[in-house]
Amino acid sequence: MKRWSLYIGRRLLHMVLTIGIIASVTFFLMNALPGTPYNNQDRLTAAQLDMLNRKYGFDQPLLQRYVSYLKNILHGDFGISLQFSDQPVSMLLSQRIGPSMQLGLQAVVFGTAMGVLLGVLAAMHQNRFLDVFCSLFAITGRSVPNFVVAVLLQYIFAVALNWLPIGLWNDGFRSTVLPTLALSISPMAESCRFIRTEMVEVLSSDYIELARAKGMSEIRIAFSHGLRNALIPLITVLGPMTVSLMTGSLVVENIFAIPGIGEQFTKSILSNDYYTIMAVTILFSALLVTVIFLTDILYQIIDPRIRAEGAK
Amino acid sequence: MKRLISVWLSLLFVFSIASPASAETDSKVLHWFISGEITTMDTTKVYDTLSGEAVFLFADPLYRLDQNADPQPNLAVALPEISEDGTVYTITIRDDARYANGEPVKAEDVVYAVQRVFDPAVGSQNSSVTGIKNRLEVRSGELPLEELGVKAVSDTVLEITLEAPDPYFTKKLADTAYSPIPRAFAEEKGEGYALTADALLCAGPFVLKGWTGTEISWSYVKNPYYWDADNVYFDEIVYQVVKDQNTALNLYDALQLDGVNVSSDFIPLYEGQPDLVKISTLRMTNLEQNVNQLQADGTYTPHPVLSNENIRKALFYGIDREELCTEVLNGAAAPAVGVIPNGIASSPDGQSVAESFGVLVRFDLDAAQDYLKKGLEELGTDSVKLRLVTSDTDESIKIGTYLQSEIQENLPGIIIDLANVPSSVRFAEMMGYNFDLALGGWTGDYDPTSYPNQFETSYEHNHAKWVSEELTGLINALNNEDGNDYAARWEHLRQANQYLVDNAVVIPLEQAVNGYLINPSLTGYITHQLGYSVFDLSRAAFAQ
Repeated sequence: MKRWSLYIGRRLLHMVLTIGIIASVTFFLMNALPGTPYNNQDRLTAAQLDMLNRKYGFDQPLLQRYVSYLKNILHGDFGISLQFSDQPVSMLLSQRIGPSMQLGLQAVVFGTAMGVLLGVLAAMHQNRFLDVFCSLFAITGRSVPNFVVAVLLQYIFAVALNWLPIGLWNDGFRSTVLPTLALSISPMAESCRFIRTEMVEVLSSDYIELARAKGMSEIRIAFSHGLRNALIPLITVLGPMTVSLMTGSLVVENIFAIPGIGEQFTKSILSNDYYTIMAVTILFSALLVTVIFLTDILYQIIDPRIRAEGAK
Repeated sequence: MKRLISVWLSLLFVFSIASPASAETDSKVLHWFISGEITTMDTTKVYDTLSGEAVFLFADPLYRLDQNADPQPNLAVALPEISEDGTVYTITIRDDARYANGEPVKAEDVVYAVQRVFDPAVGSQNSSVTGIKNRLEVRSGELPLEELGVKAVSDTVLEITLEAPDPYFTKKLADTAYSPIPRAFAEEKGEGYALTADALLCAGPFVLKGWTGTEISWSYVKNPYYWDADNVYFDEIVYQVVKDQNTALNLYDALQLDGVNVSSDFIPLYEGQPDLVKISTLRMTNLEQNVNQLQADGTYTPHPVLSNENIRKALFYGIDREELCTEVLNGAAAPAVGVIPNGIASSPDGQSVAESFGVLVRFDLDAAQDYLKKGLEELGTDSVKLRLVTSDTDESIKIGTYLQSEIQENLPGIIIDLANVPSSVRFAEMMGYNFDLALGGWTGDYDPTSYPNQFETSYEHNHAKWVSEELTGLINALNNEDGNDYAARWEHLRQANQYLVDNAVVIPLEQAVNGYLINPSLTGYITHQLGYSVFDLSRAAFAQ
């Protein structure tokens, strides 16, 4: 127990340090970007620029701004967005993160579950039709960008068949179906590929042969005995993928007119919206390090060999 | 396994259950589009067309422009009384105007709104409110807000004092920045004023609902206290941000939106249909040149290539704007007629800019090649290389690529390196006064002077760093001497326009045309070239 507490404590400290370093580097890099954070910069007079810089504190030396920004963050103040005239960044994020997280989680859960199912079926029918089909699907899913899938899904299910909304975020769960499917293609293909490769190996191992000799059904062997061992490598890629999906997709959100956070990642950088850049960077890195931490813990729970390694 | 499969099947079923999308049946609700998020809902901070349009329905400015861009009394009961020297405007506002909470509107509320535009503590980026006495000193903090040239004489009369006479000022009073804001309410909200619908109190035809700051969908409901509520038809106008062009068109075709914008790529698909509405704008796209370059030591030296007048003229006459507008931009633009666009104002005898000043921009390949030959001889070389920087938007990339091929084909000896960069980077390069060519432009609001003013020697956005006493003299005359002598003003505008063309200081390319699909049964809406909002939907209705 003590070993676990020490391990977790050390990891948490590393996480905070990592986020601190990312935030600091981003702060100085972002201030090196050309241009001003004011959208109306091509019309502002020098006097107006001075007035705005004074108001927002951009006339202060960089180091001083850095220190006060860090202080403000510790007090939970992430500053204001200059793209969205003076809206607190924390409000912008809290209003926008919900739809992105919902779609991301739905896509990961649905995509991974479908991918695992297809991967297991492919491995069970190695080199037969189902296997070729699944491999083809995995390659296509990895190669075709999700916005192409999004446009196709929108055309087929919303425009041609009129089954689901074309877009907009006003029809409850129905509004989430097509974007979720578009986003789930990538995790589906990725997990299908991983599981198939692992399962082929696992299904030819001695303990599976023993299970077969004992007369267990192929399905039970695959899902009860094979899958657990085949899941480990998938967990490695699943964590970062979940974070990346939960923090929104610029293109899919635009195609389905969803008020997500995906666009803020790029738009804030292009428009030098300093505080939004900082907040989304901190959010993304915090989610990423947390997921990596959870993945490591999960490893230790799933695989006794890793647990034993950690104990040494 | 069976259980697992049934879970998947039910999941798939849930994903695919569907009923046809509901078409809007309530005819008193308008479903409108907007192409991006709103930067501000504060009428005193508006500086772009998206926000300009978003505040338009709840704002109640002193005047509204009609379809001919003539100002008509709105919150004001009549056109302003203007003093003999043209600098003092006395405006009487209606005594039946009410805010959405039923409280009366007072002249002092308009004064407070204008003060906010220049209050350093508010930090407005608005640049359309101009001409008012002491505005610059108030903005810089040298003078208190009370010294701004706008005062309430009584509850219904206000007086605006200008620094110099301005014949366009009555039109400028149609800007939404001249809408009343109740001081007590705004001061109570403080920094949070207008950040959400609840933190906003307005007196216009509609009341903002459901806006919480960063929304992509919100609505306006009819204001029962509006002084002209009887002539407001819609109970509700729902706005939806749709950024993807395909999605916007699909939503329009599915009758879920009554209007959408159409980009140049899609205009040919709808050509000839009654839904397609094209509106000419005042957005000029120019090929800008750096004539004098800023050096590291802070001095300026002539640009090694573009300080040569013949090279600039070769570029000026070597571009086929007609082809650019019809083939590349699919009719979403009209060839430029000069530096000042058509539609911003008319001559004293009612002629358009093109009719009065003539079409000064043309494609003349022979002349262009002659100028190029002379220019290269003067430079003592047979080829020059120029870097053309454009923004990385679809349209800028298209125009940039066209210019590159057009110039290299028509003017052998000029090699164009194309750089597509984010807008802020392009702008930073231009403001560094050290570039070759840049795809820039300007959208004026009410006064044509702003177009030639872009190249005036002391103007900070004079990216070319063009130096000319002649042009400075003309701009000074326009800004400080002509006053309300409209004929003299028009003559000076003509001379400034001609001067910039004769010297090829800038290469005007095209004047943008916006395309929209609008429900043909929608009537009574007004479209604007002037100001920030393209549409005035306040009196729009569905035809019975």
